[in-house]
Amino acid sequence: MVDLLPTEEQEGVQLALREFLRDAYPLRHGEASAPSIKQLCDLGWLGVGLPSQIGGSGLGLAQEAMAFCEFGRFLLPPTVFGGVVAAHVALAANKPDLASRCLAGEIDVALALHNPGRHGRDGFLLIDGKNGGLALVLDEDRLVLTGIQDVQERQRVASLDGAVVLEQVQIPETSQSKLAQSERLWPHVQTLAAAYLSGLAEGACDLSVDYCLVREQFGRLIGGFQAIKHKCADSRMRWEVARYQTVYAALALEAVIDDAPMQAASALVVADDAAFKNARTAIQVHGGMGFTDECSAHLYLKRAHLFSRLTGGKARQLDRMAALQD
Amino acid sequence: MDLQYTDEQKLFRSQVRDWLADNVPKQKRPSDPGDARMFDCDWQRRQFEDGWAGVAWPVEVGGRGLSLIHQLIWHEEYSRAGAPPPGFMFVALNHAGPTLIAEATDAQKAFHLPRILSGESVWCQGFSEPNSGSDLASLRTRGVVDGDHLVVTGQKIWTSYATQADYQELLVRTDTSGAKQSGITWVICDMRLPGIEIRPIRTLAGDYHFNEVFYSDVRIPLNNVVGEVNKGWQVAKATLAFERGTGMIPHQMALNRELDELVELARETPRQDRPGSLLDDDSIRERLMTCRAEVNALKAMTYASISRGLRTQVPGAEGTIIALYHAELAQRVQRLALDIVGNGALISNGDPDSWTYRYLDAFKFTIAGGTSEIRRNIIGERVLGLPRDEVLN
Repeated sequence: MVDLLPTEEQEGVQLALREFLRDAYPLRHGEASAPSIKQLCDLGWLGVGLPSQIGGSGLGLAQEAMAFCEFGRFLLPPTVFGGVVAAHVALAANKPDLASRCLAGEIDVALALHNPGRHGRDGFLLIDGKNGGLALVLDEDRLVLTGIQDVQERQRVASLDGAVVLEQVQIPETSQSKLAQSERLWPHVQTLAAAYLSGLAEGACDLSVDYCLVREQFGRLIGGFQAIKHKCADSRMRWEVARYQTVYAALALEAVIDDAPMQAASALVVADDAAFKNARTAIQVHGGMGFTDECSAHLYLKRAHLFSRLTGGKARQLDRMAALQD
Repeated sequence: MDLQYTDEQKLFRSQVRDWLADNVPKQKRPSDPGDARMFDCDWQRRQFEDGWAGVAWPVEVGGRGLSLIHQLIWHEEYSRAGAPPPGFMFVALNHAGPTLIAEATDAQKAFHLPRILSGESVWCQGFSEPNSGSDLASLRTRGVVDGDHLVVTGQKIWTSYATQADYQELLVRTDTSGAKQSGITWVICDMRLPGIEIRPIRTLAGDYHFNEVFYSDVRIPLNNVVGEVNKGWQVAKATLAFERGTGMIPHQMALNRELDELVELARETPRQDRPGSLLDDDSIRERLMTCRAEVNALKAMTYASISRGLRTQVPGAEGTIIALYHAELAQRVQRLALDIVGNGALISNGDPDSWTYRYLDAFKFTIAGGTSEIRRNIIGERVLGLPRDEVLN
């Protein structure tokens, strides 16, 4: 039956994840942290949308998207995105063992974004690269899982998002071991990124509202001042819009509806918008404190930049939509 | 979470589609108000005769009592078929009728509801006053009890459809002593009573959509009070949200169609100073696709709204979020339209199908039925729990 909201059971899964994340991944006042996701993997939370044969829960794309909303809300490291997408790529490439190892957190999956720099077409930014494991090349036309040993000329650089390890690297096309690849998963990737950004937007909204309910000036809570109240209201509207469009896109993808890719791109557009504006609002309502790194607001902003870039940024989504429109 | 329709629902959709294909009027709605009223009422009667009136109304009062998903299907097909909006029947069907269903006596319901469903009576709303807009509870139109009548003196404004209306849902002040909300009475006013004067107001879009209504000692039978004297504020608030999310469907589908038209228009319009069409213009393309994403999101929001309606009869403040989102999105789309239309946008002949008209008319969305400022207050206070404004509350 047509229903965009979760059933009681589906909501139960969502709330269980939220409670777990609230305890296991608390934000420490502005501190960018990169906690291990091993516990998350052990509890099976990466496998929400993957089949039970490889260790997943097989709960479908919409539930998986909702899980990513929670990951975004608590600013989980990008490795969680890497791990899940890698599992989907491996599964699509008929490598179930590789997929289940990604889900179990047994293999580290770094993210590789095109970044010409010194190395031209072979230049990438590597996010959270380790000594072993894999690199997931995020390319719209083809997602490629390749061994970390294929990543060359690794040079550490300072990262805007202080919680990730960033390197400028070279991954020559010819040397890629290409353990698994898929050309058809991009709308799915867009949907998961949109979900993360929607959740991030929600987290930034909560941060703003919580502060507005404690900070006093002129003898009253600042949340009572209309200008600030209205900024919070807009944040609330934005994340809800992003959330529901993301769920719709996930359902459309699962049902293989014709315009599913358009819906996925749409989700990313509104989620990207929500994430950035809500993060900016969080900084703004925190006043002077918002400008420091002692306040958590900047973490939402910087993570939004990173997640936006994983899929090419909002402008790229709008371009894709125009192409789909033709 | 699901987007699939059952076989029964798919069958229902095709039945609706077939009926609409056979019955939607082919001719354009006349612009003359008297003719337009007849057009709107005839269309309502035609739906009534074939059992399609009041799809959301309970069966006991003559409606179809359709489930929310069936209502969703009805509204989608209705919009898709280009069926005419309710026009002069809007208040009767969407506001007065539901209020009567919730609060009126059996006698009042038995008299008025069938006449609404069959398109026989047109209603208007007498709520806002020149000094009482957002602060509606401060209204001052006076109702004095005299024997078995209520004698009304005062003024209402923004009354759509007043010139063609048979009845009015009228809020008057019957007690000035206590808190402002406690002295208000909701009464059915026969618009043909002596002492009522209607003065049309021209909108910035050029049409005479709403009116001022003046009351000089208008004698309304006390039997026409709905609920009790001085309990009218509660009656006004009790209007059950019959539409539970479905009201947004025609708006969302209209915006979707308009975007389709705009993409085609941009594609067909050559650029002035270089090769290619307006669709090749980065700014236009980006704005079009952003609106597309947002109109898609509005549909998702509508479905979420309906999904909430499946779970609860009591509408929450979340409805305010979608209303606000639609209002500002609609204005962005219409503004973009003028940039695509180009210099031709300067021609303003009041044709309701023209982009210039739609652009001008869209200014009402952030004002009517709750300004966006009030909506943001409601979202901040009732959804987020931020401190209530001492002055406004």
